[in-house]
Amino acid sequence: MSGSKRLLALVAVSALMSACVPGSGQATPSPTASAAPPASSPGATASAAGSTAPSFDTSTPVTLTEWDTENEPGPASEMDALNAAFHDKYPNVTIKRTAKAFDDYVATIKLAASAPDAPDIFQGNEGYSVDAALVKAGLILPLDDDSKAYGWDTRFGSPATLDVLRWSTDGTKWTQGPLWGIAQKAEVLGVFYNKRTMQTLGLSVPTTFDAFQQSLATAKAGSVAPIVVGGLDGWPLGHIFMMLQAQNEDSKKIADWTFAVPGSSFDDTGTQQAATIMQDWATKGYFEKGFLGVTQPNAAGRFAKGEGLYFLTGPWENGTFTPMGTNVGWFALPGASAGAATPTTGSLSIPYHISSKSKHPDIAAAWIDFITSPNAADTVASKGDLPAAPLANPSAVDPNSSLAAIIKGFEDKSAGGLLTPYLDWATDTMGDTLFGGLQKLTAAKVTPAQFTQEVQGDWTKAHP
Amino acid sequence: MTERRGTRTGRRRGTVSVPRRRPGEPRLVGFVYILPAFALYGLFVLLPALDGAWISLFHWDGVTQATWAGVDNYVDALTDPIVQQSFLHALILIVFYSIGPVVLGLLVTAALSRHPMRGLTAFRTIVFVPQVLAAVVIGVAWQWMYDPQGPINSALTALGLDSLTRAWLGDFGVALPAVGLIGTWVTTGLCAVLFIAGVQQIPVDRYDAARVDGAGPVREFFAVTLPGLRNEIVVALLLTVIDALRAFDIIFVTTKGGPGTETFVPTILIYKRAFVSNNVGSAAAVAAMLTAIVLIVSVGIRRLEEARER
Repeated sequence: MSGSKRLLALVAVSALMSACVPGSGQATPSPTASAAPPASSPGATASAAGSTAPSFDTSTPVTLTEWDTENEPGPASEMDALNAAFHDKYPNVTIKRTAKAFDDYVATIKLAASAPDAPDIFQGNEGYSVDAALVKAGLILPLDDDSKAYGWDTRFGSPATLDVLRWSTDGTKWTQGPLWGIAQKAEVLGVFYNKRTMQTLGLSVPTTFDAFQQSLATAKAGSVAPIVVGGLDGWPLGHIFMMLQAQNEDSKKIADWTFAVPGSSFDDTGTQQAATIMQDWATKGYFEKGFLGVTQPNAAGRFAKGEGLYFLTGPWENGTFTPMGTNVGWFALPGASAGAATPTTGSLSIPYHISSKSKHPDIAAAWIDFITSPNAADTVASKGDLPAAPLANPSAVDPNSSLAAIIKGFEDKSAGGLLTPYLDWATDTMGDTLFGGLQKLTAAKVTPAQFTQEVQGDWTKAHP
Repeated sequence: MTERRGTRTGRRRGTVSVPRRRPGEPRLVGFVYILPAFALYGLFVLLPALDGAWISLFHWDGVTQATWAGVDNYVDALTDPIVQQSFLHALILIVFYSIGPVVLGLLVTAALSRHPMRGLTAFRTIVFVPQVLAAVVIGVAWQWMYDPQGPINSALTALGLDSLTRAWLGDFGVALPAVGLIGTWVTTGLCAVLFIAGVQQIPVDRYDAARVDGAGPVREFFAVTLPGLRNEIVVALLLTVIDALRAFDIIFVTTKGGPGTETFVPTILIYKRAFVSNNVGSAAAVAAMLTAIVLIVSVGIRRLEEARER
């Protein structure tokens, strides 16, 4: 008896000891207070080439710490090469780089950014989970002055491309307010195809959506998996659905819904049409057999070995298909009529931010400018990745390669304002709701209407 | 003050003739011995646990200032269908992680205990191997086994059982048992090794007596082996039930909770709420509920043992 009393007392004491509000321990400047001194405007003229002279001290040795997610060998070597080039340009600046795998990175970056010795520069991630939280907590600096000085606003096609990196200073309104970061890479969803298989099936690259669906049927009839996809991971289905929705729903409606404009709905005809096509493809066996039990890396590996006709995903998978050589091609999912301006899903990739705790925000801005410049784009493209900025030397990329097609695809879509946002940005839980919902949809456990209702339910709960 | 206390002790020592402690009863100095271990345990286990319980009373995104929530997080969790579904899945996993392996372990033991067998050590090592492997390795290996073009489906096709092949981890209704069977594969070894060791403690004369009385293998198992293994069974149940309730790694590696929400378990939910959707308070509330359930179940199993002993 007395034992349990003692235990109670212990619990009470410990509770008192830790009786402080979580999060109250750390310095959390209010958003207004953190609208820190604008990073000094480097140079006078804005230049899209990023060749402006910096106004910072180029003699005193300085070390900047930098965190990113480029841990794969290819991208890691890009970053190291760029850092070496930056050091050559400004010998007094040394960049100390830390790279982590994406999942680990996302789980730790907010804590790292709120630590007293936060990295000067780090990658965030579009959405409420990371970027909004960083803005809200005042952990990163607004970059509008740098953007003007370095010409970032015109570097990435339509200025609207940067909207996904704008947040109100309280981190609640997305695509409005100051610019908080820019990205080195970009993403545009499209269709990888096996050139040899396409030829064997007697097909040519489809130029309309009907022709595309026809090619799926031809492949199926020819005992070739029409679309190879790792449905077990959920999100690969999400990306296929997003491409279909981008064609069947008004782009503005998609953007409004994703960025939480009140009154937006997922539960309407265009989106339901996309869901119907998706389910129809699954029923007709256009996704490889057992796709819901396959992981995306396995699926991509099989496509790289020559299995299947199409692989619908983003440019990040381009490197995986290197073993196919020139046998892999890429096109954007075609629209209703040949050559029509057809929206697809895409955006800048994960952004670089400057810590509000950095002592050298001006140098950090110069570094971000350097690694996102057209010259850096050449380095990024040389490793098979899609750079956000146009190439300084476009002829460096083989015009017959899938990468050349992807680069052109992104330029066309971003210049034409034809990029729709990723739907899983809409709420904190949308990844689970949407991707899990698509697994149910493609397994015919729900109807298209039930699917759109369920997704809208999540949205309404998050944006009452 | 000091003097008076001294006198009092002295007086008591004089009047009390029997020792204050009975022989074998713990002395207070014992607490000093456990102090270092307890301090570490308190610092790294109890305090964080209490801190977690405290956080569950707040709305907190993990970065900015938290706001008081009271029992809101608990009310939300209890009424959230996905939380209920997750706990139901955890209970189903007990069948695969705990009950199945204990039964299998007993069968193996029964088969081995009747006749001395050669190569017992090798056998024990083999069944115990899954316990030694890292869960991530197990998950990746089984993901490959379960792949629609993997060895399981290939074997079924080779046997002419094409109709049974499926996307094991992506099949609604099959995914949870499929993940559960990985657990069975892991924990059966532990149970078997515990039971085989336990059976060797049972005096041989009991088996002899049973045989003299004409008991067959089944009768012998229920009359001698099973009662003799009571303690081992309780230990095996405790360990494996806890394994089932806190199952995370294998599920995270193989399905991440999918397809749909078919393999969502409380730990997956806790991870997603804490690290994906910035809902640390809610994650802590689910974690506290899970801890409570683990404690209750553990105490329940211990009671079972004590009740039988009486």
